[in-house]
Amino acid sequence: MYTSQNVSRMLESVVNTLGRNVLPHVKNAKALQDAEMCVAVLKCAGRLVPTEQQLFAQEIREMSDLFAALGHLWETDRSPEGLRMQERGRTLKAYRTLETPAYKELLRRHRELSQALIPALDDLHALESQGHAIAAQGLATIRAHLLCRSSRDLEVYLGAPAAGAMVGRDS
Amino acid sequence: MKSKLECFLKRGWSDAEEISVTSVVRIMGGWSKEMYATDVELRRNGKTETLPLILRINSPDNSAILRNSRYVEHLLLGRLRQHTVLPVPRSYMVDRTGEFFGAEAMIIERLPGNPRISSILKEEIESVSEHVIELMAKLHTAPLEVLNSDGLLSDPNGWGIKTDNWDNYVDSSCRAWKDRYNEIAFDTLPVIYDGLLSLQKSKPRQLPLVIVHGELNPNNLITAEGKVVGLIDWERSHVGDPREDLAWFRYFEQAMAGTGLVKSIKRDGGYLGYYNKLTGFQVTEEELDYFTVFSHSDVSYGPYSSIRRGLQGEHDEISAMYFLAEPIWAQNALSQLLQYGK
Repeated sequence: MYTSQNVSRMLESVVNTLGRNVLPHVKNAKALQDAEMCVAVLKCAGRLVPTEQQLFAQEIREMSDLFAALGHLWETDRSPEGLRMQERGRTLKAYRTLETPAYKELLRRHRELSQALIPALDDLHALESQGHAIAAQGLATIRAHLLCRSSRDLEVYLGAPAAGAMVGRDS
Repeated sequence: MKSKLECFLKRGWSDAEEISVTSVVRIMGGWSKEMYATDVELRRNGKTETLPLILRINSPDNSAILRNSRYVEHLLLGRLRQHTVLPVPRSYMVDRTGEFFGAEAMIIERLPGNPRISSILKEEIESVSEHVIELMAKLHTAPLEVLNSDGLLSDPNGWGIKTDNWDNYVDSSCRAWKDRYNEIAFDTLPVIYDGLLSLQKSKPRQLPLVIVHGELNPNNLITAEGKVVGLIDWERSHVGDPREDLAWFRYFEQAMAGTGLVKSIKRDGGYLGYYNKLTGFQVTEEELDYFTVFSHSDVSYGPYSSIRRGLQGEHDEISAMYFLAEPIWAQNALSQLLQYGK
């Protein structure tokens, strides 16, 4: 295995070559747009490759902790929503393990935990509408997780938090 | 393409003595439609004129970012030209059946001017921005019953949107988006979903329902000499709350275009003060925060469902991968608008 010609470096090389030697010569408008999109996607892939597994593992831990905390918050509530919160807390905290599982298992756990956020939001909003005093705290807890995660995604997927024109009309 | 175009034009201009397509070039005027710039020589009543035109064709259904009707857009453009002073292109003809190009298509006027926001001169930015606000105000105070005389703009997607009153409009829209969340959820989108659930619980005050552009942003402006000489891409127009257009313009500038048009207005109260002076609506920035979440829920349906179809293998357009960037931006931006952490 090479360390200097790792996947990120290979992708970087492709992006640079396309930008320098190919794109300037593409005349067809659709071809140019598609090629520019390909370059953007390759750049994103280059950013993801070194960090993806580590971030999946980190987010699995964060989400397991989140559901455990929400379950704890509702531990004395007997409403259907409260009982579901408790059940999620019990079940999903088992996904938090010290060792990083194999990639396929990593994806499976991350997907299940992420999907559980949706019914959790449904339950928290329902509890808030019913006037439960701690619903706002529950929503704040899940939103704190989502704020951190969406900020991190911005950096990881898009590089810098600077807006630029998307490919299409202004390029 | 040239021969198909000539057949289409001859059908629409059956009184023409001669029609000749002198050039047709694919252009990238956005992502939602297949677009061609064409120059056509038309002889009628012994006179020949050269018309600069745009051919807009619907994208294939499985990969389409926005699925909507060229016929409705054609009708709306006609009404806007007849009943307002908004600088919109003339729509000459529409193929509703896909007979000529395999999909619904329309021929519209190609407006002269600059379609690139990055090319607006620095000293013209404020003037262009003020004109955008003036045109928005004109649209939002145009008579709804005239522009929507047949109700085609009340529920263009057929999602059960009610426009009999403002509350019903907001409630039915929120319901429609929540019902369709799985159609856009190419992956878990928790901030988007939280936004959908929050919209009905935090409704702002009512404003009159009007015709909105539906996707007003700097890329849909044609400018010249400090003015907007063209407002284009009316495919998402519908009956809605006027704040949708303001909010979307503001959001698009920040999240996608990186331009600063609205912020360049130096009048008292800035762009919002100017808009409120022209309309009397007294819109606030907080209301625009709500309507950013609202308009995003509406506009994102098309692109996100296209991403989902792409990731599930229903089409192979690179745009599905490329547009993954937008939900990343959106969830971050919406988390701040929804006041996460406060």
